[in-house]
Amino acid sequence: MIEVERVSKQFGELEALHDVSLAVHQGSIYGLVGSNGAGKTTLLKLLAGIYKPDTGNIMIDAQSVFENEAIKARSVFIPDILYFFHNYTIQDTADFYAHIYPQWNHQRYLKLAGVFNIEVKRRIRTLSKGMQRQVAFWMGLSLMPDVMILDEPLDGLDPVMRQKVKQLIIQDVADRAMTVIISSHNLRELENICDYIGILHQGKMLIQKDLDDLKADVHKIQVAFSTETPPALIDEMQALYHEQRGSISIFIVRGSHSEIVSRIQAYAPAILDVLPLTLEEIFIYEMGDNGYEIKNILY
Amino acid sequence: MKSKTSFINKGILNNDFKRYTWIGIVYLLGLLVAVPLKLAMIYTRPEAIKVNYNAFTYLRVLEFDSSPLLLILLLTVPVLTGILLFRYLQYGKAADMEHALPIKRETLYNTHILTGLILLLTPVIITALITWALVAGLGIEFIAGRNILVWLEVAFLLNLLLFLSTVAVGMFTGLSVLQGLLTYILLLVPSGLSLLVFHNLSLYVYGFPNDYYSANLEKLSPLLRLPNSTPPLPAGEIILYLLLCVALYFLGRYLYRRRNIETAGDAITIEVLRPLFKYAVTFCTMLLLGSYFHSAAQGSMFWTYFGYLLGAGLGYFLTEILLNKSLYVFQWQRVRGLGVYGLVIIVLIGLLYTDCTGYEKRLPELSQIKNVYMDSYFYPLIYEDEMYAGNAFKPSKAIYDDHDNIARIQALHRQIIARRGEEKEASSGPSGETQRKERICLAYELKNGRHLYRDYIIPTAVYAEQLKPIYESREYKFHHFEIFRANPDTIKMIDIHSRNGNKHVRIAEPERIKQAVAVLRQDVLEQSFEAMTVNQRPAWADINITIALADDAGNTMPAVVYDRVGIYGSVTSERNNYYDIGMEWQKSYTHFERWLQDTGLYDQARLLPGSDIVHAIINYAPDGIDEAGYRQLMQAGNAEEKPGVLKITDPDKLELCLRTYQSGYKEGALYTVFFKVNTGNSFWGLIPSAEAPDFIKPHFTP
Repeated sequence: MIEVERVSKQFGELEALHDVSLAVHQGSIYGLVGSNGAGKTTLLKLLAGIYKPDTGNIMIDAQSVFENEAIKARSVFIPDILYFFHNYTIQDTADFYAHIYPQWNHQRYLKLAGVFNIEVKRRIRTLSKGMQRQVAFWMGLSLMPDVMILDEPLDGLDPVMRQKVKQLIIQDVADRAMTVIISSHNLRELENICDYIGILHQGKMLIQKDLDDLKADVHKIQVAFSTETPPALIDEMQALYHEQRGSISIFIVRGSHSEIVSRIQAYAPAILDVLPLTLEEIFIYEMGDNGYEIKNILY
Repeated sequence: MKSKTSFINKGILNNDFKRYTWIGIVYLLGLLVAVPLKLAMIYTRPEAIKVNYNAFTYLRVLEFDSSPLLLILLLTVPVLTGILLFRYLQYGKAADMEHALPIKRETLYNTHILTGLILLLTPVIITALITWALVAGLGIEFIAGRNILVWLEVAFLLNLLLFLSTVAVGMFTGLSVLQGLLTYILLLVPSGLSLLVFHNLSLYVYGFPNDYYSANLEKLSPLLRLPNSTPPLPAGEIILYLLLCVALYFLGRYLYRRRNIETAGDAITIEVLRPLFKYAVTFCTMLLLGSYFHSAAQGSMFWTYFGYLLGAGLGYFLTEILLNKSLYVFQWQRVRGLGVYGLVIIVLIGLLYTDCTGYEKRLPELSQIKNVYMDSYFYPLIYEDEMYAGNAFKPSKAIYDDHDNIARIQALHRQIIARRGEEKEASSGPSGETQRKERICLAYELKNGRHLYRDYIIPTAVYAEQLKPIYESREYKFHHFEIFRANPDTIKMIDIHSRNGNKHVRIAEPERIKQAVAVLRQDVLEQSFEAMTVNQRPAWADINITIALADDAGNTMPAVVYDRVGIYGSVTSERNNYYDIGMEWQKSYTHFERWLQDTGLYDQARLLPGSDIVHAIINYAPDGIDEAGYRQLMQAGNAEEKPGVLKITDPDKLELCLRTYQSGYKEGALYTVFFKVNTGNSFWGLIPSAEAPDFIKPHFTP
């Protein structure tokens, strides 16, 4: 369980984070979304125990993270810009981590060699950017972490590898109840992996949602009537969003699926479709008046 | 799972060794080349060359300034090691990576320091061991185990101090280059800043003894002190350096704890140190450029202030640029910071000018003075007696114990204080006056155990009344003429070489030596203040008194000790078994003159009119003679016997001219005089109009 309580962090004149709180339950995946400079990396480095918060608390399993060897030994941080020791091979790097992290699992390391398929004698500096990122995941997963903190982790990976890595993470979450916090500037990238989404903008948390709730709760409905759309229905729906395209009405509505459908059925529509909502749309409608702002953030 | 904080982390330690062992190897190879290999090379030179070798040739190898390689290794490797081991702190990506590891900062700090110490000290120990084995194996008897231990001790201290300083500095800076630079600067600051402060104080405070305070300043900086630590460091100093190392360790640890990892790449990583750094640099560059312009413009205060302004501005804005990593620093808000600094400095200088502490007026009560040192420099007070370990004649410390003399010196001091306004004005005005000045360096030892030091330059003529009784006192003469300290029994010979000619007398019989010393002492005691200062006339001859430092068997009398690195005698040739006292046969030394006549040596000891001096040519200079006139005269020479000059060949008149002429430049009407020597040489002098013998004047009066 990760808990961030009212954390602020200042870099000189710049306030990188302002009063940010979030919670990630054990065994779930939290997606942290925001444009460049929103404070994602700062928040993740605070979680990794690299930075010290100016105010507020950063806790993992109810313990403060900063300078906490026990907690840090169970978590792994993969930064957006990777660093490996100069001239080190994959094997050298693995030896180093094996000495530092008590949970290092050599079997896993050997098994993952098959997944990533890179020669362990190769110097990491000579590898491509994408391959270096694979090495980072290889090491990170071999540490058997209880918490994974990933900063823009899928950047630079090809689609096949992207899928593989996502799969590996989800597997660990499922098998070992690993907790993951993952950042991206692209909401779509996190769509099918996260349980929670938080949107960070200019150092502040704009909105946080449980995706299961959201998806079950918000619906995009397309209806058409042989005549005009009954005004009573429009009133009754209390839609988050309503748009009329010729004879077709589009509603974004909150509520349970069956109840909404049965309510519309009562007006005998000619067509009734419940369409899937993208995460992006959900957030835009959910934010209401702030929706326009968020459109600019999420592109 | 480990939950307790461990002192070091083995994984990190192993990793450090994996990455940095090469430093230790390179260091070891360098040290081996610089010390044992060099010894071996000296040892294997051909016997014919080695005949002249002595202990010094071998011991010199163990000195840190003996080879550039050794010095460069010792001064750079510890700093480089400190920079490399803590490089991760200054490099964002690496800093993130290392601090994401499940290791506390303190553990990281200790581990890297341990690596550094092992990498640096192991090569030093191995070098010492190999040197010791080599010395023992080859049987180089000049080098004792103790010599190697002293080497080891200084090398240890240097490595520890430089390495731990670099680490501590690295904690408050976020740039590796600045880390190295600041380490050296901070180690030099104690000396450099004091030097600058003292020099600048001496510009404002009349009588401030800059020379005295600045003399041993290099001892304040470990960087200057340790490599030149001859003789070996006293135990107290070693303990001091060790304590400093411990303090540096804890300082670095404390700063690491306070450091924010995100400050990698910043010039100064600890917020509160930023203004301190800024104003400290501003202050130093201000003093530095002020001092530079002061000396470059030969003491002009206008240029000194210009230097202050330029230095403060440069230092201030350069640090602003460095701290903000931006050239855009010329904003009103920052200029105001410099303005406030400037006001503080103006107030400070104002306080110095007004002598608010009464420093310039301070005069010890006569009853409070135990003794007083007075000389034209502080040299004998400053330099330790050890420096003259092999020298029988240490410079005399001119310390006055006689109550009358103390009172006279205090009276002189009182007069200087009373006239300080005039002297200050004169010293800031144009220099280049021809009048004679005395430098008076005073060091009072008071009965309450305190000391008072002052340094003045005063015009001799103005203070003649106060100076005369001091200069004519017995104590003064004993302090300033070595002949009083020479034991006649150890004098080997006395040589008298005439000026401007090649006449020479040597006195070697012990009885005559004793007589000569006695009359010379009497002459010195009777010499008047005027003869010593304002009315100096060129001497008849130079007297060289040779004192034997070794007995006839060749045993050196003052022992030259070879037992420690650093102390070595320079007794390498026969000549160095002697010490020479030089003095002059002044024209006022009448007792000596009579004694020479009585012993029949007189004619050989000086140039005589007639037989040696062929003639003199005298010319009139109604406006005196300055440097330009002097040059003109020198160029024209005396060969040209210009019309209107007076040529003298009469021996009596020549003798009168010889006894009257003076040297140097003078104002007012005077006569220039050329003496032609029978060897073809000539020499030149001048006779003030008032002192001219009677036969000169009529020739030039129309």
